[in-house]
Amino acid sequence: MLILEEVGVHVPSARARTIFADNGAKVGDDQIVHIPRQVVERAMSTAPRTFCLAGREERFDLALDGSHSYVATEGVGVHVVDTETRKLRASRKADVATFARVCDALPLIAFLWPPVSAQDHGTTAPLHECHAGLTNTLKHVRGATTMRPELARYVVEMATVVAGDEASRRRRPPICGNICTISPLAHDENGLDCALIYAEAGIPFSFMAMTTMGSVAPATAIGALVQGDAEVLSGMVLAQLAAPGCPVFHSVLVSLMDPYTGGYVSEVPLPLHWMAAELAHAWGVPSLAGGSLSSDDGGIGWLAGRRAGLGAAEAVLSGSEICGYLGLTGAATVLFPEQVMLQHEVLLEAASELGAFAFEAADTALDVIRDVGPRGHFLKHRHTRQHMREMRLPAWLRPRSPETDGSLSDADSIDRSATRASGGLDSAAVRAAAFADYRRIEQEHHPEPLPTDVLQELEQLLASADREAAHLV
Amino acid sequence: MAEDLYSQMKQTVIDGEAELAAELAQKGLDAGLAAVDILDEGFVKGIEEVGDLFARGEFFLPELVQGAEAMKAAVAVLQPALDAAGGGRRTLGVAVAGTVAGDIHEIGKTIVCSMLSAAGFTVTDVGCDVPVETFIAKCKELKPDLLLLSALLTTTMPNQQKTIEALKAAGLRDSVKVMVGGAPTTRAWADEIGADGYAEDAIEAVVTAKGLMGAG
Repeated sequence: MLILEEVGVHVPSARARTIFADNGAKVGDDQIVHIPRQVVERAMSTAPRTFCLAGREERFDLALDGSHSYVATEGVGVHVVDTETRKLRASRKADVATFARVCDALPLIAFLWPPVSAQDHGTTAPLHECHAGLTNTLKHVRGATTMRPELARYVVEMATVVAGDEASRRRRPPICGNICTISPLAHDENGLDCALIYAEAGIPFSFMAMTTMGSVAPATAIGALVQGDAEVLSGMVLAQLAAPGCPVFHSVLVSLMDPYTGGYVSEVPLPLHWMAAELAHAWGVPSLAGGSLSSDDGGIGWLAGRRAGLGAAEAVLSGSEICGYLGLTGAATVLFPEQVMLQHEVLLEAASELGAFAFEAADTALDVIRDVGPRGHFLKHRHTRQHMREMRLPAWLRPRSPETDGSLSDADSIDRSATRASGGLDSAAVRAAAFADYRRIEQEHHPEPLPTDVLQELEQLLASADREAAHLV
Repeated sequence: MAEDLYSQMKQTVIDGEAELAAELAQKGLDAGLAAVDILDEGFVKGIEEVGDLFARGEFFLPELVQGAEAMKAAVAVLQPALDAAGGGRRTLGVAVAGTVAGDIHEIGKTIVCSMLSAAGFTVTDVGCDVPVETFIAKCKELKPDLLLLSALLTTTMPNQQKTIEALKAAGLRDSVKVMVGGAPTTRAWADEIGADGYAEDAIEAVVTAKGLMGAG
């Protein structure tokens, strides 16, 4: 609050500045707004602590209530490793649609954040990404983002069409959004104007600060976190002043500036995601923090695997309502299909090992132990047959194949032998199996489509948006 | 006495002390030293050392940026005397850089400007959200060798293409080399829009710029 009061934040939106001024903030000629502590506290007192992000069916609804954590896909990249050519290319709407179906099939992905941009649609790309999500998954879609504010109403209208009516849309919103701040301590004009539209419509959204230590944030981790918190808070305060009680969530992602190139490094070896979640909860709102499975590394080898493991553990343990971005490589710019499957596999393991354990329902098997007794074995016991398939095994565990065991004459052979002896696959085979799984889902998984009249109405909205966008200066 | 002063001047650049660099530049002029000697024997030696330390991985980007700022502060003091004597820092080329219209992200572009400056280019940073017309006006005014266009949003990337088209319409395309960059851009995009160069990061930007000037 000290930062907002004494340093201020740059607010380029005239409408937003008016709202701040009308509510007691000091607005300078330089568009810097200083927000007094009492304005912050008054505004945040109206922010709801819990709300729902709805899927198409209630079984996919997400309760942001502090007792559940959900993993989202990561967004929004710009490149795709093509599944046919295996070459890197610019992303398109069709990629969003395909990925939406893949996410629909993967059990631990709770909602879709379009992973890549629909770059074949120019100004209306965000609307087409939203559409691709809504029409290809039953899960919640994070489709609202910064765009020309003249077009933001189409997000609200699409959400209304899918939900059925305005009351349903407000009660169970099928779309949420994200507005990024511009560090340090600044906002995007279109972002703020879109945020006001979403706030008034009851579309949940986060303000997300991506404070990079050393370039647009202090070179100390807590300094970067605190600055990010101030940026996000200024946005949430604006939303509450404009539409008290609108659902908002808090997101600060601290990163590091590569000290040699100035590039973006997301892997900061500090418990910042947990801290960001705690900050959100201190403000009385849900958190979108909690780490990422995605790696800065462009490939999918050991480094990416290490990151996926740590990120998955963070996702399960951080206590953030929404956490654990999954799906992209290369510092959140590249969609690499097999990487998605490998990350999801890691997440399944982490959730299984580190997640809540249902002790009440746990089977101590005392009667079986008594039955087998000292020096017996359990192989023949019916209890074993009934329960051993309950243990989740890695998806690519395969029976051993003795004829492929190599000699012990070089490192590769040792690696192969050891891997096979443990029942695993060598890394090339794992990658191939992951890619095959992705292709299978791509070709075979098709969620139930929306009703025809809804699909038609969405198409009409998109066409109208495209026409309007063509006339925007 | 001169050697001692030159050594202190060099150190201000290595230490990134912009205010002190300006003071020492003035002190040198007041002592009757030639502006071009102050520049070459003092401050340029400092920026060269900073560049070497960075290349060896001993200096980080902030140290490079601060060294460039110190250099800039010293040159600002020396410039009138340099102009009067008809001399100046040898430059690898003149560059104009900006973030395209509709886009207010500029940290990447700022880093590139600092690194180009440290590497010996004369750089004018025209800021962010720069309309196409402003880029054209700056090219007419400053006659740069290089025009660097940054975009961080897929929705603003097209303004890089529009700027190149506007250069052609103004009859300026052949007089300036255009480089593009920014997170959503790629080499393929640069080729598609007819840019002369592309860089994925600030290091590559310097290498590409030098290459375009035939100094690589």
